[in-house]
Amino acid sequence: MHLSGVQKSYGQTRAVDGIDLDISPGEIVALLGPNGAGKSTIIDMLLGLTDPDGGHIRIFGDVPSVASSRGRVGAMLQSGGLPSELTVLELIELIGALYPVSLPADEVLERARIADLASRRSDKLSGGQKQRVRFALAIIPDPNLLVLDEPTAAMDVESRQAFWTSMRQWASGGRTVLFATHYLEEADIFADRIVLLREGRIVADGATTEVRALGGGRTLRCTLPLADLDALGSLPGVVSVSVHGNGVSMPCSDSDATVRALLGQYPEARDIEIGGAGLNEAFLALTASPEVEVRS
Amino acid sequence: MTGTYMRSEVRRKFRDPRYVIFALAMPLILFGAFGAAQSHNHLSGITVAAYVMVSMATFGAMSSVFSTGGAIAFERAIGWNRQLRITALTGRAYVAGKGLAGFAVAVPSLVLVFLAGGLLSHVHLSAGRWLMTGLSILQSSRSKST
Repeated sequence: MHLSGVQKSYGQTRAVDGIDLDISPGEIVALLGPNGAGKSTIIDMLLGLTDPDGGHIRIFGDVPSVASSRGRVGAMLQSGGLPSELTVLELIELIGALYPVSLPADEVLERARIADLASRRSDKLSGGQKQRVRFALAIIPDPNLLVLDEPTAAMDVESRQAFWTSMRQWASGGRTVLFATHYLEEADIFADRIVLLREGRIVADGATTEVRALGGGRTLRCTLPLADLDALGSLPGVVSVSVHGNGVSMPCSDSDATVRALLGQYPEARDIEIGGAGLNEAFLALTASPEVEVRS
Repeated sequence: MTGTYMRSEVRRKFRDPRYVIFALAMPLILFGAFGAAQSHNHLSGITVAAYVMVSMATFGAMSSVFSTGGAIAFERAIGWNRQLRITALTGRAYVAGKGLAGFAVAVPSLVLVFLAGGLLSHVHLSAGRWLMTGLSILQSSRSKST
């Protein structure tokens, strides 16, 4: 999958402002960003539902609409309502008939774990069950790329877990998954690679661990009674100090230097913890809009 | 491909309470109320029963055909048409399928009223006349809906 210089505007708003992105087969990529960052617009363009104003997109060498109609791309759409008059099995048979090649209905039911819902009308399904049906519809043409727009938005914790389990199974055959989300944990746990978007641009793109490291340094926490704020603040590598009772918390730029000096000067310090900056911090640091940065 | 899509569209209509009530039941009920018993009175040279029968068959057929527009709007609103757009179904085939399904389900609604007229109210027409009446009702529904 290849995007270069892709742009899209709605009126005065630049929803997507020059995106270059290459995704190789087998990658599991999270498209992460706050609301309005351009995630859904990118997905619509990847599926051929919207055309970009500039730049070009190729999926397995085809333009998106051709790749979709050939069944090489499957999608779980955010607003994917289901016609209430049809049963789950009838929906699967209908969509199956609309692709040049599709998996047998019973295999789709089994892979999406909805065999028990086959004869149920779609208006009699819970939110989580509907989402599994949408997943079933997405895998009908046995696509090589699966695009998911906020796939677990309507799910409780349990169905979310089950969903990602079946997704992992599906992807284990070397297939590519691209999903948009604003759940950081989901991107953290499931993706190999995170593409972080802000205002229609890519602000970070890399392995999950790399993106997490962009959030800045680490935080050192310890228990140290009667700590002297100024003395702690002058330790090497310390950015700032905060004390809560006996607990001390120090964001550090060089936590290795800090911990050595701390133990030299305060051998009584206990319960030392050094935490990596989380994906949360990276996300906030990288996606905060400029005005917010000034205020903080 | 188009066959399965059409079958699915027709099946959905028969499960849609609005179609069953307004296009199948209502014309029959209204024919029963206003025309069924009037096989001896005449209006414009034909029996009132025949007159009302044709009116109600037209009403049923048009309700069937007109519901297509609403169905397309509804599918757009819930996002189902996006799911269809990423398949090989073209926009043209989508609209054509919807339109044809509308006509396909217009047939039972007018046939039911014709049956009621012929069997209960003794409306006697030649076979050719029955057929031409049905076709002209469908034809006029088409020109009204485009």
